[in-house]
Amino acid sequence: MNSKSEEKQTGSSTIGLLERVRRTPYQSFVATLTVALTLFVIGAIGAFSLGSVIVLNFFETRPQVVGFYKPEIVPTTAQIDGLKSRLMQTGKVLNIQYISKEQALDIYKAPFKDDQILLELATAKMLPATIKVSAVDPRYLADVSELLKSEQGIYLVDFQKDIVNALTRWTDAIRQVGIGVIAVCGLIAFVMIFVVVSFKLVFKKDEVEIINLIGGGRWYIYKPFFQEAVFYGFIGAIIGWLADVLVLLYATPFLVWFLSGIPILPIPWFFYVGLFTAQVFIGLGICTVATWVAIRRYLAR
Amino acid sequence: MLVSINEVTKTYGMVVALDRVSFTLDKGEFVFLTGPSGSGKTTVVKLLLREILPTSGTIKIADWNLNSLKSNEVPLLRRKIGVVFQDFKLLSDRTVFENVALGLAVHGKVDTEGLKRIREVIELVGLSSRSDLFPAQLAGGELQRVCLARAIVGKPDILIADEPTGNLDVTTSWQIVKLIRKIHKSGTTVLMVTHNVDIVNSFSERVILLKGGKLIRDQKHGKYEF
Repeated sequence: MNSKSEEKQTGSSTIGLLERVRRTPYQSFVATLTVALTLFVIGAIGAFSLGSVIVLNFFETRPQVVGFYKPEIVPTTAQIDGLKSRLMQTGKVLNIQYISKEQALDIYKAPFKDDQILLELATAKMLPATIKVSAVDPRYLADVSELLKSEQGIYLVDFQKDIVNALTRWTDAIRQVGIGVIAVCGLIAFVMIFVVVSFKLVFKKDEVEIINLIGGGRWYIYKPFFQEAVFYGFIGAIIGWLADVLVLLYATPFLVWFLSGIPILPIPWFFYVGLFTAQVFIGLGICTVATWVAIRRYLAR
Repeated sequence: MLVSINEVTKTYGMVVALDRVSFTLDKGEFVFLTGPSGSGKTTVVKLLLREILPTSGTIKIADWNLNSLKSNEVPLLRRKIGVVFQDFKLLSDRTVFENVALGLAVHGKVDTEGLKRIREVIELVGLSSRSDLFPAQLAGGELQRVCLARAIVGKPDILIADEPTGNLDVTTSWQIVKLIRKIHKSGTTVLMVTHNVDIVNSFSERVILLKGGKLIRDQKHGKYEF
């Protein structure tokens, strides 16, 4: 009959990975939790950054500057083409859309198609023709605005400079803070794994010496530490990813309301796959590098 | 010739631990390496395990020249040598079975054949009923048996027993010596380091006597006497 120890034999190691983790439960728990927290924060900030790029892109590709012609003026095709040409020549314009008085009326009528009184009151004559311009970069909005203001017949220029600028400022600030938080969390996770592995190396000093004496190669001796590092990184990535997914799912109803009109939700499945892949790679990277550094330091003593 | 120690000197600063010591060991031999404390016995063991390098002279084990051995080849050499330590050097968090398995695990994967071999040696040293116990649950003699089982599980070319009875009572010491003799009779070359006069003198085996780092005597059927 086989002994219990015999049944536990796995591969070339005399103690399996899970058994080693089980024998140091608190260290393993703290290490895994720290990595999970780090990867959760990285995932959350990554998701926010990606979302903010999509939101900004949405605003930046909308018509950002709107020039209103005087209601009594109907610009000719030549005038419109001339203006379009001058705008395009600046190299700062992405897209131009002219909306005639008739098109403006159609746009106005669309939401009120069931309200006959409102429809009868509105006429093309009372609505201004407009020209909507998108800039290749929000920084050019002011220049485009100035050019439109100088155009004859345009009496009002409106653009979303403040909205886009505010949004850019906020997202840039949050990204910078996010990078700082990621760096700090990453450093904490790195140091935590480094300390745990260093502690285990010191704790297993005799074991390392004995295995060395009976012919264990360097990789045989240090492989278990790397295996544990991979365990912490992978389990940490799973926990961090699950936490991110749960937070995103919980926040979805609010985000749907908050970001209405912006094509960002529902979050596609490949985003979750990409997030998980990135978290696994980052988790494994932090843990294996920290382990490697700890072993190098131990050997250098 | 399995082991060749040729004109080996080892110094630690001004202290001469070994002074131009030469001897050889043939395959299948049983040799006592004796001498009082500080005679250089442990230095010989450390040199053979390539824990240290000689100050001068050459050491060869089988085809290995220990003087020019690369660091990544040292584990390969040590797998050819089974060592029994005076202080056992067992892993306290591993069971008897796991400690013995370690001797085989360093060679590679512990497969079905390996498990069979581990069972064999545990039975050989008489610990079959204790294979699930941890070192803290064993007596001194049993600990030395585990150490012995770990040393021979990988079928080494040579078994070096460094003061294997140093920490044991008389009765247990004899049990261990008998076990080592049994292992030798199965074909393993044995170098037993001891300063136990009774044990050395009870067998008519080759005795190498060291004193003050010098080889005093090397007799085919020797005794421990000055």
